[in-house]
Amino acid sequence: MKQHITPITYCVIDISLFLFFAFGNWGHMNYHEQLQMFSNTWSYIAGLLKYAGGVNDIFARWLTQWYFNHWIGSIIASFVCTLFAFCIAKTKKHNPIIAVSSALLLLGLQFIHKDQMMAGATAMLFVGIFILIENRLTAQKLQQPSDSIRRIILSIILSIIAGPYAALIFVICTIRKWYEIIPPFLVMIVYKIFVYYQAPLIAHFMGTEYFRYVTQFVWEPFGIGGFIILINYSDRIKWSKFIQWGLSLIVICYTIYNIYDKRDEELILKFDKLARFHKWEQIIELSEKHSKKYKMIVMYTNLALVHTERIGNELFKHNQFGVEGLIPNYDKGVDINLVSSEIFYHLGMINSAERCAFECQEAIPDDQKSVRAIKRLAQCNIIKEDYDVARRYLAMLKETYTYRRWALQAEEYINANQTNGVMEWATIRARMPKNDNFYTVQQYDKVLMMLVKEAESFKYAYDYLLSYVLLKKDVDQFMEIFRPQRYTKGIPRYYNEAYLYYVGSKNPEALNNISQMDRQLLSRMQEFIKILKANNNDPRIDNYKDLYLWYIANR
Amino acid sequence: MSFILASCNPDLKNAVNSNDLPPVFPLVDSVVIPSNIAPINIMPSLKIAEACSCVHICYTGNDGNSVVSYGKRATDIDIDDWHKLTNNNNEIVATVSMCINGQWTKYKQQHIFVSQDKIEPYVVYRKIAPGYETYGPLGIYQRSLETGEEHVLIDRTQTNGCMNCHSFASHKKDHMSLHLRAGSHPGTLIKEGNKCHFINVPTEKLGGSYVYPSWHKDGRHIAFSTNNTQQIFHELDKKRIEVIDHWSNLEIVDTQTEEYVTNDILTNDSTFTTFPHFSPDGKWLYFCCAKAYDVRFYTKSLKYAIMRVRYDVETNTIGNEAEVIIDAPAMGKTATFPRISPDGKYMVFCLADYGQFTIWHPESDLYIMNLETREIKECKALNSNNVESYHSWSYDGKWLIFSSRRMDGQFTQPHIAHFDSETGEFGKPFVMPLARIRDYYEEYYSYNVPEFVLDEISEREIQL
Repeated sequence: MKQHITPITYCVIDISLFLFFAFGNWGHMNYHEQLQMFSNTWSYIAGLLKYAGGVNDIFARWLTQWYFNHWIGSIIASFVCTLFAFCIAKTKKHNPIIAVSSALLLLGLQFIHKDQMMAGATAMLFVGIFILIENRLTAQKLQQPSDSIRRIILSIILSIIAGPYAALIFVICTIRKWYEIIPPFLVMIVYKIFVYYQAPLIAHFMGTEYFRYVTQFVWEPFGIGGFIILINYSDRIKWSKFIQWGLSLIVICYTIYNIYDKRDEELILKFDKLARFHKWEQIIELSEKHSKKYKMIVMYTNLALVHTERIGNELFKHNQFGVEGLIPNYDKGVDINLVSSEIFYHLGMINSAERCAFECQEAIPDDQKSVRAIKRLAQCNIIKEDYDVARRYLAMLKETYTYRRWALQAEEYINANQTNGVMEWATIRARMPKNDNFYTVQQYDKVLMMLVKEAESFKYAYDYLLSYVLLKKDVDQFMEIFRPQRYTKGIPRYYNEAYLYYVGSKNPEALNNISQMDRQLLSRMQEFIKILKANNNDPRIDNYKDLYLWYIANR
Repeated sequence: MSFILASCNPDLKNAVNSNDLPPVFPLVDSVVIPSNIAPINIMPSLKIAEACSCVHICYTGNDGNSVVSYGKRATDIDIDDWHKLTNNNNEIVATVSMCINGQWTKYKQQHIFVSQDKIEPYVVYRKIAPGYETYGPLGIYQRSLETGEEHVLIDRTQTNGCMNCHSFASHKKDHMSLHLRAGSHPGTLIKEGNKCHFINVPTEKLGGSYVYPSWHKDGRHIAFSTNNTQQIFHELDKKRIEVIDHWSNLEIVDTQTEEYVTNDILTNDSTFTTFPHFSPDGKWLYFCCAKAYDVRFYTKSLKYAIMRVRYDVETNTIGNEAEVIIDAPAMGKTATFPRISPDGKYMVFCLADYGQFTIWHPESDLYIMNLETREIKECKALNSNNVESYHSWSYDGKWLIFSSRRMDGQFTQPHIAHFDSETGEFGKPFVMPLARIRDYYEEYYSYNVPEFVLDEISEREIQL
């Protein structure tokens, strides 16, 4: 039985991590996948090789692209963590606690934050592998070449593969002579002088991309490096067992805390993934399940409500905080531009969708391309019939593994001049504005109004516009736009409420003449107004949170 | 003769002849090239790239010698063989054969004319994705026109900010200016000899920083515009963006004392003045001028004229009378980017329907004016049905480099054309050759503000 403990340990670690990634971290995996574009072109590869450590970046990005399918992504991510755990724990006779804490360390520091990069994990994996190789060679007592030369060669190779910083950890873990510490710095200087002079020295030192904001100092790589070094040296210190246990305990606690801390971020990213793949019903379900509301969640929920034609009935059942929850204010950030691009795309505001996709693309802090943004740019240009530009984006997507098939199909439609054969493109093309207008980034209601004026039957824009004015609490403008005769099967709940509120506030007598009157709704509205007028701090007010009037009074 | 072996295997014996031009990028039929230009490689056009398994090109000179290259994705012509061909011939025939869906086709021959007017060896430009307000990777690069190789002069990794408006005095690297925006080193960088320094810009007094530059031939004075710009967007049009000025003025700055001069013509509330350009003799300052307007009521009726004013460098004084050179508004047009040929005889400029940021205007075309006769004509050889915009003369006036979006309407590539100052006519232009022609498609960049330069600049020479 004893001999089975080690494989069982690693199997348990791997399966547990797999389950965590597959069910608890797919939002993050989607986020990572969509903000890069692994391209099988020389210019892409060459761009990464300008730093020592570029090989590792290439490897990590190659792996990350498979997050496209989160099951495959989960296998990859869990395998990287488990293999790292194996490399670190092997030097400690596969101590299960060290194995578990090593895997969790990598998970906690490199996988559950949206800006921590896979390359950070693989760089540390390379360190672990090189330490194993060195230990194996040392154990074989090979004299040719000498130990020192061998370590120097290994550290140079590791510097080139995973960056001088990773090599430095390896050197510290294996050093026997003082001068063995020089090669990683030498590699860094050679790259700085001969390969990419413009880059700051620190970029050459780290080499590998540990964090998406490349100019920002982050402690995580040093945390992992410190852990590896401490584990390696722990045997040489008194109370080694306690140190190992203590360290492992800290790591485990930190990782659990970190997972807990990042659960809201994961939730937002889940909404993002569901919107990306047009899972509108699931978005609403998820929104109903989670009471926590973030701007991104509200925006995606509202988008889903419009798509499912439920916004008139359910807008204020979900937490709202103004028009920003419908159409975001202009921002230079990656995430907000992704959402905006989705919203504008479905509204048929193709130039705006294209602009947001482009802005998102350019805002990615580590200068990567985004497959999602590039695909959106291709779609926008196909819909606009700017086929030459679309081909350019499609050519980029064709150089990837995961989007190649889509790009080829899109190109076939273009070549056959049958882009209207794709339902999505044809629908959105029909929604596009008919006349050109200038606008600034603060004038979206102007554009929505124009869309509705141009095509009254365009329900999507109509719902957006009505929701926009309701969120603005502009009931007068609502009444200017609202056409009760459009609704033969009953006026949607919140339009009805706004309508009743308007009529009631102008002329209560006229309420009796309304044909599509929801008596129950009216009586709740009247109750609410009565309570509010009597005491606006009355706790019963919160029983009316589903009313539009509550939104007007409290937001 | 050189053969570049690649994964494809030409089978030209069984090729079918076609009278069509080949579906490749770039097409070279009737272009005029300098003898010292880098090899012109080709690649299959994006439309047929997937179906094409091999592209083959044979350049044959009128002395009977040939250079051949082929490859799956692009050709890769040997540079020495190419230069032997261009140095010994005044006409070269390009024969392209392609294997598409397994069938080899030999396309109509293209004729290239080789001019013995050598071109300046380098071009400096900015590479940036053609976006909106946010910018990702970008930098100022220099490319050798003789080899097609490129190297970076300064990029965003150094400053984490935007950069543009690089300009040189008399095409020499000893006097260079560069505008850096935001990031760690915002300001106007002046490179004099091997020393770089930032000039002190009185932003509070001017209301902004120095933007579009033009060096005086003395290598000491620079005319700058100061612009307060904003982007607005089209909801439907293919133009996508308009860049408008809330106001703009012009100043002439002494780079040694860092003091500036201006006058009521260049700086006033009733007009916008921008895009300065010194005449080669340094006696005139050309610029674009439009009636000031309230940006809130911006319409497509905003149109710029090209004007000039006298400048005396000895006394550092600007004339008090402005002369209208191109009254574009009277023609219902807008005129931008005046650029005078080194002999002072001609002016090339952009003519578009409205506005000033012609790089986003598909209708923008290049026109030339004979400054002696004031005759204006369209540069038909240069124009396409897409954008033609920023342009710059070579030091001898034999070549003009200009920005064009003829490839797809969105990404800008520099094109180069030969100019005959006797006739005032341009030859057919060619796209700036790259060592890897596929970079035009793979790199996702526009090449902005191409400027000919005589010397190679080392990245180490630009010190922040």
